[in-house]
Amino acid sequence: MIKKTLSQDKSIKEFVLNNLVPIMFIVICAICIPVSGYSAPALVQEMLTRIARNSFLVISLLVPIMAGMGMNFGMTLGAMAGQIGLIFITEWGVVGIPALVLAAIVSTPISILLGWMCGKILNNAKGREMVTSYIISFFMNGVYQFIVLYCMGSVIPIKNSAILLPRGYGIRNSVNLINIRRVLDNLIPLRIGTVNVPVATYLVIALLCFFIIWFRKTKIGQDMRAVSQDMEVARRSGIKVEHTRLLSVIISTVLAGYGMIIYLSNMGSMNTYNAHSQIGTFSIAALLVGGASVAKASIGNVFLGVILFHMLFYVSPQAGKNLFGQAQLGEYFRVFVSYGVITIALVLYEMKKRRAAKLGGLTLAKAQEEK
Amino acid sequence: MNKMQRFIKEFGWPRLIIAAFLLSLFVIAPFAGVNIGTSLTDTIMRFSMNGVMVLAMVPMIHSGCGLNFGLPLGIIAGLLGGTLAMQFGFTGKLSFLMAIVLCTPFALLFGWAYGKLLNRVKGGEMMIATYVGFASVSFMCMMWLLLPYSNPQMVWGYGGSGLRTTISTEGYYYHVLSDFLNIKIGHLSIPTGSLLFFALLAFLMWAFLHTKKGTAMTAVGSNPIYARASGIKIDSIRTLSVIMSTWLGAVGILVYEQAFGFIQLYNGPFYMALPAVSAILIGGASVNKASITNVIVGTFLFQGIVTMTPSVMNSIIHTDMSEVIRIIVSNGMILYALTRKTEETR
Amino acid sequence: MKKIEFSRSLLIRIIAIVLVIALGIVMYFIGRQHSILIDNKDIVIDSVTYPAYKLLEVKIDDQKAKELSKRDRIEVIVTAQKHTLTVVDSMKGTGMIVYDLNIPVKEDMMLLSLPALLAGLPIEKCLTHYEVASIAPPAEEEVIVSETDALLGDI
Repeated sequence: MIKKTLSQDKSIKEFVLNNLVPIMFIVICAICIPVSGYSAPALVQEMLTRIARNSFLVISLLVPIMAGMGMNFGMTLGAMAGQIGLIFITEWGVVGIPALVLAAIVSTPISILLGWMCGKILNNAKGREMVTSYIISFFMNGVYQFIVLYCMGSVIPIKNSAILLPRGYGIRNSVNLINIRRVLDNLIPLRIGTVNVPVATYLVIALLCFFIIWFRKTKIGQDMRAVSQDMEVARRSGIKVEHTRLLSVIISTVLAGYGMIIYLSNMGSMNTYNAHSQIGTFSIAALLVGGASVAKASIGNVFLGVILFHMLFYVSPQAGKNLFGQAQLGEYFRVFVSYGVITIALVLYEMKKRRAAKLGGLTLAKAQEEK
Repeated sequence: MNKMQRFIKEFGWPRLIIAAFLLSLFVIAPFAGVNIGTSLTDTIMRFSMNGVMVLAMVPMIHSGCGLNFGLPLGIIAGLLGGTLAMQFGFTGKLSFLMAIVLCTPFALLFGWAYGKLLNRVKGGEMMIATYVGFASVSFMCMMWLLLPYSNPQMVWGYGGSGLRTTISTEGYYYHVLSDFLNIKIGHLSIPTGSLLFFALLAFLMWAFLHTKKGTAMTAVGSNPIYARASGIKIDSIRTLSVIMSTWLGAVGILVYEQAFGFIQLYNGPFYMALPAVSAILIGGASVNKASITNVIVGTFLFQGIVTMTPSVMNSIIHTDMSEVIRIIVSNGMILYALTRKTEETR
Repeated sequence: MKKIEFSRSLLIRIIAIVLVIALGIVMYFIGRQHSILIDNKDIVIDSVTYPAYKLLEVKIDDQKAKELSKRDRIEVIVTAQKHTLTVVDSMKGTGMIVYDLNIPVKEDMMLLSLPALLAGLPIEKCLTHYEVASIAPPAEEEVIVSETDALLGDI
């Protein structure tokens, strides 16, 4: 009897420990929502918009996790490619859905190139992919700035004075994307009460989810899992480890590019030099909030994470204002929470990994003793 | 030829390119109408400002904790020390001393906790260090708003609560080291005090690394299995190294502030680790090996590029591309170091 | 055997790339936005003067019809290149006259002169390239790239 409750205790403890981050978030949200004083329809509308806006980006992180490469901070590279695509369609004066498709087409080769580069570098940094991809995102940010701020208009032909800086080269701080603003969201209009549902965007996201589910079952998807389990074993069984890893990064980068296009078309304007670096951090935080770990993430984690994270993101400034009279405090709070969550998730993951390694070592020693 | 190739390989292509780049900047400078004297003064000034923070990288690299991307944690301790010294009304030279004294308990406490944390995540230190730094900076963003500071030089003037984003150190520890024994020769001005202070800390670090504890630290980093076999307590040595790094980071930011003239709160410390990390790498350190020479050479090269590029670039092509160059150079260097170790072990 | 397989997959890839590029070009054509300035002013073409009409009603595709009195100019924004223009002379009540407009894809803005068009001039003469006179250069915009500020924005 005592034993049973003990094991029950243990299982509850295990459950809490395994889901520490989402539980923490639910608690914080439960406190912040009433304090913020937002009405239910407003919250639902905001959440629907934000899920539509951000899910695609967060889903793009799943593939490298599948291949055991952790959180792909290199998704920023895809975001840069998407932004370059958007700069071009604005320059060419293309509008509507065709503009989105065209931007995606333009971004694809850039994403593939950047993803390939990122993958090559990460293959040289096995075991520390995350910190390396993190630095790659910084490094490429420099290259992006060089291209967008100095080459566009001088080397790369851009003439539209609405996006070009007055000095004649370089793109403005902020590009107005009125040409594609909410075109996907409003493609299939649906209104329930006072809430607008961006049906078409959700269809695209659903399509991507099916792609991910299908992809897991393909040969490459299986290979990726094998690589994530044990690189050497995978290699011995004839899987091209480096190639598989490279592919996972490329797919993630391309998807991130598309995600960025969807995201910015919803926002309606583009912060040329900041949008991409912002998106990397927050997408990763959202995924981790959903209960994903660095080694394992599912589509369920994506949606739970986006909902919880953006709930907090939306309510915290108002909550900060109502509680302390300073909206700024709420803004700092949400930044702190996103970083705190990533930290906790990374620490938990590393600790688990070490424990598993220790356990593995113990069982190995035991097995050897028995021999 | 073979010798040459070997030299290049050991020195590393990126470092060679960076050194050549800096050299060419100095060669071009006179033709571009840039005064070498002022440039050199700037470089030395920045060297003295940033040297200690680069030095803070050394202990953790030695003990095998990798590059200290969590430097902002130490910086936070330093900022607490600096602001508290001002709050308590210490002025002039005394305020600097008191800032160091006041930041020490914070640095020890933060460093200890941070070290304990890093001991539980061996192998993943760098990524976690980065986020510990970020989380602590954003946490302090809230604290700067909430803590009950009251010195009028530090808090927002218009009734609001919380500290200003930038606080002048005028009247407190402004230039206490830089102006100490300052030597002026024509355009050249050398902040002897800051340099001496850096030299003192660097010497102490060098001396420490030659004590029994110091060699143990190096052993933990370079050969943990051997270190364990010879009875070294790995975890406590690692914690010690993290505490040292954190304290040096705290003192480093104080040295920086006294020369810079301002305390930068809130978002200021977010990315301060990256220049320090890339500086020591440019100086020849790797993820698990670093010396005092690396610190000196690296800081000089890095700060040289940071000061020289804007002025030379501006006068040649009338565009300030220095920011882009700085980003590419510093992160490129870190990237190179991160991808290199696997080659060595292979 | 292996060689054939290789070339087959290569072929498929090339076809795929070509298709994607073709799709891109199609998207460019159908998504390209043009603005047409429709004019009802006196105009001189080849030293013949075409006087403006008193009141005209114009409609492009299914957009809302608009009225132009003498010396009026309106801007109509269209996407893609082929459009139909319907003109009604409100004073005479002559009924609808339908024209096919074909805008070159590279044009951002074109000027369409109705008096010339109604006088029976070929459409190439009436629909001409139009450049917005460059306004005085706006104040220089400073680009400050700050990574830390990025963290505080909304997403």
